[in-house]
Amino acid sequence: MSMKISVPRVWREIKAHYLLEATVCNKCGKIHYPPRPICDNCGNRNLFRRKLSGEGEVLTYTIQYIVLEGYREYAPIVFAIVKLKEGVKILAQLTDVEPENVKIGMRVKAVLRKICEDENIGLIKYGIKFKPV
Amino acid sequence: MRPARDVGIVGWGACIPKFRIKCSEIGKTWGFPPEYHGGLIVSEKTVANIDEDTTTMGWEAAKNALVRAKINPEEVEAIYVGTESKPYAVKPSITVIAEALGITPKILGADLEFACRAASEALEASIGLISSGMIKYSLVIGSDTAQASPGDVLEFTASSGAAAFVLGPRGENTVAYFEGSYSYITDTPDFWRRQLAPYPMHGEQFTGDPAYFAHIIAAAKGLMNKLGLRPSDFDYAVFHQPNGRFPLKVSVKLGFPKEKILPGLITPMIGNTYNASALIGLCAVLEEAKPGQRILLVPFGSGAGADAYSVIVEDGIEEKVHLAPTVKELIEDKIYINYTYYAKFRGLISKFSF
Repeated sequence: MSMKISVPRVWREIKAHYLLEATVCNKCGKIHYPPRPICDNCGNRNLFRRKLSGEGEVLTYTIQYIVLEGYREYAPIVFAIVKLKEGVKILAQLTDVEPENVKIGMRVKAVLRKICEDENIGLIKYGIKFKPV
Repeated sequence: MRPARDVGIVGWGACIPKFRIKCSEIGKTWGFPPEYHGGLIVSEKTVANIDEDTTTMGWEAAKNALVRAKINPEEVEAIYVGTESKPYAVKPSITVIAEALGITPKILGADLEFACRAASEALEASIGLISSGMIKYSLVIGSDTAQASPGDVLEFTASSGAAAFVLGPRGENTVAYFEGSYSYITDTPDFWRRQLAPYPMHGEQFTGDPAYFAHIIAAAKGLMNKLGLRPSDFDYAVFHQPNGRFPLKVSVKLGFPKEKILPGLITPMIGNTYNASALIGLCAVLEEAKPGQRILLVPFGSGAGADAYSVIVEDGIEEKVHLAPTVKELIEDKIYINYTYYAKFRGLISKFSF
């Protein structure tokens, strides 16, 4: 069974996944990551794009041992809610840290890493993960 | 070669993966005699994490170089990565790196291949582009996740890492400049990897004298003759570092004392990072060098070729050292793994039907 990565979707999400590009409501100021076309706070459709800092801290986390097909070599995967210094909270994987050493409040920074590969002939999907500072 | 206008280093950065395996662990796994690897003068090596590759390490080194350069990344007009471990056989690594640095689309770029010397070719090409006035800044990356067949003696040293440099016209923001360079290339069958072959082969007796030593010595002597310099005119010398022994031996042959080699000799702590090998050494030297000091840099690539550069350190370098992680800090930040994790991280374990 092969894992299938949607090539158009990977391409469409490059700015968000490589550069942490968010959308910001120019009416109420809410930052949306992943980017949204419409503000879910005030309904405004006029949002602009902004790169996030990539610096933040772990608010909470969970460790996934039973993973989706195609992710076994990455297991265990640490998923965290990271609060960036802009105040926005984002869901992301942690890397370069052993699960037993993850701590709430740990300072982290964004790094580009492989997210998954479509076997050995398909696309490699890259994106932002967070590692301890 | 001397450029029409001086070109210098504006920023530098390294990426040294966090995971390490001790050479004694590799030797024990494959039944080598204890301390069989002692002669290589490499005690441990880096291992790229399961989610790291040439692209991600190149990005991280480039990010550090751009922080030290203190320029708007969009001013970079060319980006090159020298590697012999491209994640894709066909699809550039630099497009991902450039996109993730936010410096696309008005930019030149390519992945270059010349064994461990490809990033040095990128240095030469960038010096030419900048010197001619075609571009202002170039980003040169050397990045590799070096392959080694399990159980091969190469496995003691083949490691992972990246180095990056922002080059620009010599001026207020350069911290070192290239005084001159000298290249020496021949067809020498010392090391190769054929299409679709997962691991390289080495031409045994060609590895040392006819390849590494002949090319490095010819390039270094050629440069010194051309510039009218002697080993005593250099404060540091950084050679390609396939192991810890070869750079020490070549320095003796060229007449450089050990104390000028050791600051840039990084392979004993992290292994051979191939395209980043000599360049991480240069990063380490830049992090301790003083303005006015002269550095000899000689990367080497199998196949074979070497380039010798004379690099003169300029004012302002000390202020940039701690803007990004130093080589010393990166070396000390480590997690040891055993051969089982190493095998998983290096993709040595075949899974079946899931």
